[in-house]
Amino acid sequence: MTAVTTAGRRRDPAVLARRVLAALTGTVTVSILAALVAVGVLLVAIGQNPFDVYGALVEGSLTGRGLVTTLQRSVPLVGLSIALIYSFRAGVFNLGGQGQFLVGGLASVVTALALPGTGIAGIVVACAAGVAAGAAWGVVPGVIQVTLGPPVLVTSLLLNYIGIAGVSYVISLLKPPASSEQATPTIAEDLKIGALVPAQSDLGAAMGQALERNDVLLLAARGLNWSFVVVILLVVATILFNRRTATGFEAGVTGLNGAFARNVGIRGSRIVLTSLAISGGLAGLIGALVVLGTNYRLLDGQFEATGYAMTAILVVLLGRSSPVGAVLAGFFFSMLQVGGEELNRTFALSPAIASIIQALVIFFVVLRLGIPVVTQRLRKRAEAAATGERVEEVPDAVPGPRDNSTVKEG
Amino acid sequence: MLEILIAPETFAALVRSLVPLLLLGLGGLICHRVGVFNVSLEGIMLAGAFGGLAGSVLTGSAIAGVAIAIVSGVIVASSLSFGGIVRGADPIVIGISVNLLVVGLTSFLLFAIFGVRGSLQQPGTDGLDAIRLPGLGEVPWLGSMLNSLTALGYVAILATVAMQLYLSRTRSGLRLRGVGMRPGAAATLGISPSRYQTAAVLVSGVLGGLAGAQLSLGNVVLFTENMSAGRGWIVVVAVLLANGRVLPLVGVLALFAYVDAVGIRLQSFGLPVQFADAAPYVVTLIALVAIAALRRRRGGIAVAAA
Repeated sequence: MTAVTTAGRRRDPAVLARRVLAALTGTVTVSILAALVAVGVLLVAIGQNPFDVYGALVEGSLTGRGLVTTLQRSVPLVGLSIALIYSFRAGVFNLGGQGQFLVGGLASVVTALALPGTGIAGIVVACAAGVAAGAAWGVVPGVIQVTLGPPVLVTSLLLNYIGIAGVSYVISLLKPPASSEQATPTIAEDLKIGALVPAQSDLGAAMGQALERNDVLLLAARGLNWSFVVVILLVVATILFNRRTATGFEAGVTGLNGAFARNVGIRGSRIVLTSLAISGGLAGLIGALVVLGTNYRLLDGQFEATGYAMTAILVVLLGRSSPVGAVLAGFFFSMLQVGGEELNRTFALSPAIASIIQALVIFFVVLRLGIPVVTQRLRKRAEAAATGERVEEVPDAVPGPRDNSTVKEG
Repeated sequence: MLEILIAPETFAALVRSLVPLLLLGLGGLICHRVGVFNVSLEGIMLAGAFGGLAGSVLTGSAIAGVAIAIVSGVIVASSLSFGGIVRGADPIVIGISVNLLVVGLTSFLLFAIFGVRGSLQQPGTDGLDAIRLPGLGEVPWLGSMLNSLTALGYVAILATVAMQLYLSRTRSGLRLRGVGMRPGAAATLGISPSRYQTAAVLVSGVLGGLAGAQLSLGNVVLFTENMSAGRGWIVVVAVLLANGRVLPLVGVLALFAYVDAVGIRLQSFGLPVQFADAAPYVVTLIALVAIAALRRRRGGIAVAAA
């Protein structure tokens, strides 16, 4: 993420080259490689060739239909990560994405079922219901923290379990008596969010004739729905919010140093509540988009099974709470997930291999693995040996939010 | 219907639910006292549950299973201590990544070793049976509670007493608490804070591994993916609520286990399963809020992480 002032320096090729080198030898790259090596060892241990496995993983997730699936999965994952960025960047450890996502999805499906067929306006109303429900659910841990003290980290997580059970109960009430599935009825046809280019439209028909049946462009145009565009807009809006608005700036300062922020007059409690409300609202919006654009109903346990909300926490950590980072990390993690399912079919491996790589990458990132760190330390040790001084460890930036769990009215 | 609240069967269920929580809770408590915020309890317990059942299935012996559960718990705990204490990483981030890593690894190994997904249950697997005491087991009410204790249940009781004595009566326990309160001051007395912290985290690995074994070999003889189901987080909250003291911890966990037991029993009276699922979390949340409100009114310290 380069700020506006560094835009000029970016054109200098030497600086650019150094930046690229820094990125390639940096913590994130090294951590990804280390995770791949560690899982490679695991694969050898169970008698698989890691190169074959990784090759199949990339092929399954980045070519043809697999690429479209990866993009489809990236939409909710990046969307939820963007939602979490609002709280993580402000130093609020919101682990309640799962509940906010789910409650938003439920509110939108209930609204959509109650609405008579009203097209675009109906979709907007259903999404607004999702936002409102997610925000209301999300802000509860914030209210508890600023009024009484128990940290958001713990209360937001407990609320997930309550949300899962509560939503499951509401689904059991909405379930058509004749149905054997624990699911709400399906929403009206004209409340469904359509594909970017529906096959029946003029453009869709023209594309269908001009392109091969398995052309990625055609598959993407038909396989992706308008949520894709909404999430892209969210990414742009978040970048602008973080850089150009007073609240976005204050939230960033609070996340970097809570005590400093208090001393310059930023009200910690207001930041906690605002960031959680936005986080929860956006998570609720993503829930609404998944219901209206993909599932068209809410099936008990379906949202939890996707693992989107928990993976989004890792995406935010890997992307260092930056929106562009979330896009890259979200795409990468979706790719692992889609490729992992492919491995399940071709190599009879557990698809859990994707979550192992994901968690290991974060584990190594937190350990601050990185070539510069190592070389720096070696150089320091050499200098220290020369001068006879003790080596002081210099911790560099850790990608998590600082612990602001004790932020109080100040 | 109200007699369920005091029925012997309810208390027997309470004991079954309490034993793994108590073992894990003592692990969380010692970490809390030494100043380490251990959010990997969930992962430690899940690893123990997998190790326990897998070990028993592969070796044919529940005791070997328990030993493997301990090893699994310690491996997870040592990755936490390496990251958090040696490398100085953010304890919350490292804990969360460790938890998710264990979820992935256990499902992966479940499929790689046993070729099944979701859950593993093999008939004839050696489990930990409840020990029936000849005399005391006959006592009404108390007997049904005692009769649902496995060997690990007695270990949990002994560990609770031992933990209380260790923290209050031994030199090492006093030093451990000193490290938790003022690591700098402890260091000036020649005590190594990181050594105490590492040891405490490893002890939580042992206790959490046992807790997992009780889940997968004692309460039932099967393993399901993610079978720890948020219990690790309940324990994190309980340790915060108890402020790291042994008796209050037992009380909080017993309340949780009681609500769990009543919820399960009420299902046979038509209580929707979702209410029973949510009840322990609702009670924990209410307790957290209520105790914080009480402490605030008394002007004491608010409940806060670490």
